[in-house]
Amino acid sequence: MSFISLDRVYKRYKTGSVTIEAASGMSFEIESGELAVIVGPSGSGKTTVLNILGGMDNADEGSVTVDGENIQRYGRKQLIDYRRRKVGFIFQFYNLIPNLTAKENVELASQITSDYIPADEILGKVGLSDRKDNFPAQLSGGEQQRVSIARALAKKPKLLLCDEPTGALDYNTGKMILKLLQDTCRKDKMTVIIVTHNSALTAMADRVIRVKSGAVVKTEINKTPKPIEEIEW
Amino acid sequence: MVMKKATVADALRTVARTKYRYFSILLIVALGVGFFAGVKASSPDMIYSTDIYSDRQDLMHFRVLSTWGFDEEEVAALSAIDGAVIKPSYFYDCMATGDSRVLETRFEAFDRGDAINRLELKSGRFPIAEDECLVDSASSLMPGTVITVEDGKAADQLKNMSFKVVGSAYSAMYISDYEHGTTQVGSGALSRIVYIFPSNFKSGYYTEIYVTFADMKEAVVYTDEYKKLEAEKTKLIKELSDIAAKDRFHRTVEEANGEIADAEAEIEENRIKLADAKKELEDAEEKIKDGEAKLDEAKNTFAEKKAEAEEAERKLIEGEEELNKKTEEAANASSALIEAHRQYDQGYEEYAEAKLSAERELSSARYEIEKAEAELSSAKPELDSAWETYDYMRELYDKAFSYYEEAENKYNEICEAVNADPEQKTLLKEQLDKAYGYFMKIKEYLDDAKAGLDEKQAEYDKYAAELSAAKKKLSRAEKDADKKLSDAKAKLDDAKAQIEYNEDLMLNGVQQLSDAKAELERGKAELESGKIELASAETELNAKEEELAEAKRKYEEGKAEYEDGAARLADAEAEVADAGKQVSELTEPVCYVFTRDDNAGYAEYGENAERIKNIAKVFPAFFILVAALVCVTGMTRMVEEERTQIGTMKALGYTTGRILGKYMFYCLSATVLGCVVGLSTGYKVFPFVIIKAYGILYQIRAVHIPFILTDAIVITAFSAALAFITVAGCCFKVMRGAPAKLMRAEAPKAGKRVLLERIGFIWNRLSFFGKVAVRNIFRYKKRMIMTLIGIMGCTALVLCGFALRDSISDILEKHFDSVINYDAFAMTADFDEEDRSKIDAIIKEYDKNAAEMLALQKTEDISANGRKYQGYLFVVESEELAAKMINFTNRVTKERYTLQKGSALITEKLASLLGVTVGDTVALSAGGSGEKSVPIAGIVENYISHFVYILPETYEEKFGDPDFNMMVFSYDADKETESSMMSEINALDHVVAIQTQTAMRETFSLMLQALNAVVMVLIISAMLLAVIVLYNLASINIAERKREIATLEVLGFNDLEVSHYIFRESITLTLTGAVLGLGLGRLLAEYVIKTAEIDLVMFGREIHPLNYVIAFVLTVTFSLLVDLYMNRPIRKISMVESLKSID
Repeated sequence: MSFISLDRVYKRYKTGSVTIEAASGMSFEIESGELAVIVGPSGSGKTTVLNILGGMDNADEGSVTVDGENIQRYGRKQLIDYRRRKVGFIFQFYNLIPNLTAKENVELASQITSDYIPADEILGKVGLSDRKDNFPAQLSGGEQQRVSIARALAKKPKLLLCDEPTGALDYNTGKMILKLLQDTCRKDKMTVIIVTHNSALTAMADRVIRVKSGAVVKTEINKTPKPIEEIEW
Repeated sequence: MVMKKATVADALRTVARTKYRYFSILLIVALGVGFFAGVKASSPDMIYSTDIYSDRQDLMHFRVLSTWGFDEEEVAALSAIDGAVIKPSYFYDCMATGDSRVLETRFEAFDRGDAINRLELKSGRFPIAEDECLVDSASSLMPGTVITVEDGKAADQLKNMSFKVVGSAYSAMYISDYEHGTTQVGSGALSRIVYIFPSNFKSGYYTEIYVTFADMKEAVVYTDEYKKLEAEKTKLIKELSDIAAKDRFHRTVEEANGEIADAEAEIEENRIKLADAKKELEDAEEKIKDGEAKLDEAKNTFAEKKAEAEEAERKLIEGEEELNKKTEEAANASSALIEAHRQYDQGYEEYAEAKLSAERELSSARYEIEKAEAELSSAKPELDSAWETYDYMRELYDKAFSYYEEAENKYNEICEAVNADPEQKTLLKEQLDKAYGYFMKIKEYLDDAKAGLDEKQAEYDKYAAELSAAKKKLSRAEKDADKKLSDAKAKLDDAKAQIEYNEDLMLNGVQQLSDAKAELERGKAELESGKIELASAETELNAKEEELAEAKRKYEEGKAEYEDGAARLADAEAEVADAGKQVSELTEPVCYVFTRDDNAGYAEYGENAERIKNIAKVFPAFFILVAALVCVTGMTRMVEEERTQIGTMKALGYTTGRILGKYMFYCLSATVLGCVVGLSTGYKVFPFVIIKAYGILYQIRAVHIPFILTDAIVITAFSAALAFITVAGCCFKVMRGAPAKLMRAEAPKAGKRVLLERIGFIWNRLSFFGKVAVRNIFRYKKRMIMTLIGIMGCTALVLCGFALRDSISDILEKHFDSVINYDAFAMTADFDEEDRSKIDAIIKEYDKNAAEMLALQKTEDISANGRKYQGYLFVVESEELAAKMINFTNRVTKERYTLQKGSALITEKLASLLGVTVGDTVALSAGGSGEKSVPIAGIVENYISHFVYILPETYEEKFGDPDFNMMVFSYDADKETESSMMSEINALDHVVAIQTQTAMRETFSLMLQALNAVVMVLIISAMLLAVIVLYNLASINIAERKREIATLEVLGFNDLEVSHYIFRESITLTLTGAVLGLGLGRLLAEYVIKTAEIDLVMFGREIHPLNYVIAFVLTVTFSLLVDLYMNRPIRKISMVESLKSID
């Protein structure tokens, strides 16, 4: 069985009398250690997938299996535990705590787990050793995103979920971040899922899942993913 | 500012969306304004209530007293004042017993329809009989109790000496249950008011006049308008009453002088009469004396005469007796005489006979003798010759015998010679013996002759003797016979002579006897006549005596009358002299005009209103400050949140005014609504609670809490203006920005290192979240300050409230437990050592360690630095005893004082009121002997009343001999023992009243409940304040950090960790604020305690450690509760928020 498997997942949101079906029978699989890119336009349901995989929301129907467990049936507490131990999340807007230094932001994550990578080590890994005592406001976007990645990695997740990681970054910086993610995947055998609307990123992925209107349109396996340097958009 | 529909709709939508924030602004405004307006209104409302009450009961505006009282003319003079309503009345202060308690009582005249100081019945009914009465509302006397006047002089003043209580009544004159003003009797403080009909008063003048004015009734009491009117009228009344009094003085002096002159004339008249009477009396006395002397003389004469008569009578009787005896004797003598005659005759015969026989006998004897004589003489010669022969013979014999004896002797000589021849001897011897024999025969013969001779001689001698005897006998017989005869003859002669004498005598006696008899008869007759004379003399004498006695009685009567008259005259003279002196010494009457300010309860109530006003200055400030802060932060946050929208609108061409309008509407509507809510409740609730609380102390029988619209409008407008400024201020910065910039997300406020991070040893010790919290706290300084102020305010208010409550209960605890060590005191009068030993015995019986001390306690004016307060001058018996009874310790320095001669110890509150300290002096005016100043040697802890403690020596030096009027006791007894002990002491003659500390403590504890209500108001308001502030802060915090919270959740923080992360700072601020609040609370409490306390009482000045704990714990608990509540909105935050772009 695959590391991640979504089987006919449905998710509906109710806003007043209107019900919007954000996911309607979505199914796909991702293998462990893969770098997967879920791509689709706005409203295609990719954020829903992200929410469900990130343990932020339950699917209304279908099964969501991560690392052999069906998280669709998880209650609130199980979900918290799931988020805490299995998922690293990278936000489009970094979501760093402005009042904490880079190092402190990383430590924030490690505060709640017993098995973690020390902040200094992980910051070194993302190349921010010399910037660790700076506040987010003093860092550039890329640097902030790197802090965010470091924060996600510090607690040794099984799965790294990235929500438009380059959305708020300039081209070169974006590339740098993607490189970091790809390297993490390759070197640490980390399963990385990048959710984006940018199709250009599909080239770097092992698996590309195209979604549209709440359903998977196509799943492609990329035998030869391109290094980031070669990708242009 | 015109708001378009869209704007209004938008604003309303915003309200709905942010209803918590809206509500919190509304609430804090309501609380702030309500508290502000309510507490501020309390003081005026207290005054309005009093005003309404006093107007309703027509409470006097002035009370006029005069040292002379008032007569009708003076009353008329005051009645003439324009607009004045006058009630001349009576009162009399004295000690009176009711329910076995002797208290300083004022008997006050009343009438149901009084135009001034009308009573309002509290219980029972109005009196109908003259000996029925009402008591003041604070009195515990039940209807049916009898109040008895305990004052000897009262009989001149009151008709009845005892009154039956038929009910109790409220009087606006005595609104305080505990202070009825001062009096001249007892301890100096009035304890009871008794209302009786005016007809009960005997005095010929009114003792007081009450005055009211319509225009003053219009004015509100305690206000400047009232005071101005009061001052004007005081002057007017004073002038008029002085003039009237002066008139009365002159009138009185003239009248008195006239009367004195009349009296003097009368005295003169009487004096003359008296002198006459005296003269008469003296004459009478003289006469009586004469009469007495004469009477005595007569009496003596009478007695003499009487004695004489008696003697005469006695003699007469004696004479008579003698006469009788003599008559008898005469009879006897006559018969004896006859007998004697007869005997004489007989004797004479016998004599004659005897003479004859004797002569015969003698002659015979004589013959015989002559015969014997003859015989004898014949015998004689024979005998003589015989005798001669014999003698011769005898002579021869003797001669012969002498030869013989010679021979014998020779023989013996020879015999004796040795060589004698024995034969010769024998021969001689034979011869001799033969001679001897011859001799012997001669001798025998001779002897025989002699014997015969002797016989014859003897016979002869016998005859001779017999003869001489016979001769002698004869001569004797002759003599005898002669003698006998002569004797008999003599006797006979004697007898004859005697008889003859007797016969003469008898004849003589008979004559005498008849003479005597005649004499006796005459004497008898004389005696009878004397007796009659004597009897009449006696009658006369008795009559005279009686006459004299009558005269004497009359004289005594006259004398008594005279003396009486003299005494009366002297009295009259003294009286007139006295009257004259009095008139000359007469000082003009002094009038006193008292206002309501001189009414203890009234003045105090005014002060209390002032106090509440002072408190109102501090507390509401807090609320207003916090309310403003809440508005500012809330609105700032709101504007920040909507900056994009503002930018959009600005970009769309909306004018600043229109954009602003929405926020203005939002904030102003919240403020105005808050004002409406706050004012409508606060205006009613706070004054009501406070007035009701003071109602425990003061009988203000009206509650008037007006809603003063103008004030409300002013407050609302002011609040709105503040809100306007707040909104304008908040928006100003944002509005200035370019629309483009506004539409871009504002960068989150940059993190910054805080000062604390530089202090490594603290910072490094903080946990990770601790550091985060510290950073966050300093990140939003405005909010930090607001929170701190809110929390501090809450803690401070709670602490202040509790401290106030405790400081009040401390009065009881400290005053009665540690300051005053005596357990009871008795007010005494004419107390002496005997009473003391009685009391000593009583208390020692219950507790042998009990002690007692004499003291003098007087209410005096105590002044210094131009300030004057009433307090007790307390003269202790001695330092040693006082040290046992009262704890003279300074509260702050804990220094223990000993009372020294020449200086005083004064109580702390008094010292602070007067503004004096150790080394200064205070002036005392004890008993009108003028002011005397005493240096202060120490300031002692004390909570209730003011005391100036001095030694009796000091008192003596300043004011004279201290007349101790109370006795204080200390003992250890339970309540029952105490009450039986007290009733025993109270039953003693010189004990006027008795008061136990237990009872006082109860009284005070009731009093202090009043302030407890105020304290509760404070605490509840403080809690509300804390809740609103914390809620507001928390909601802003959460709203602002939604994204952060969502991120944390995505990172896998559980609920507790998230709450922890968010509330740690609020907890930190709470703790900090609470600690700071304790300090602030301490200051506030000190201020409030000083402000809230009434002059007579000092509240406990120390805040109990427990209060700090309570205030702290309560605040923190509230804060935690708010946080706990705020967990709900946190839970509601969706993690999806974290994915949103910053907008």
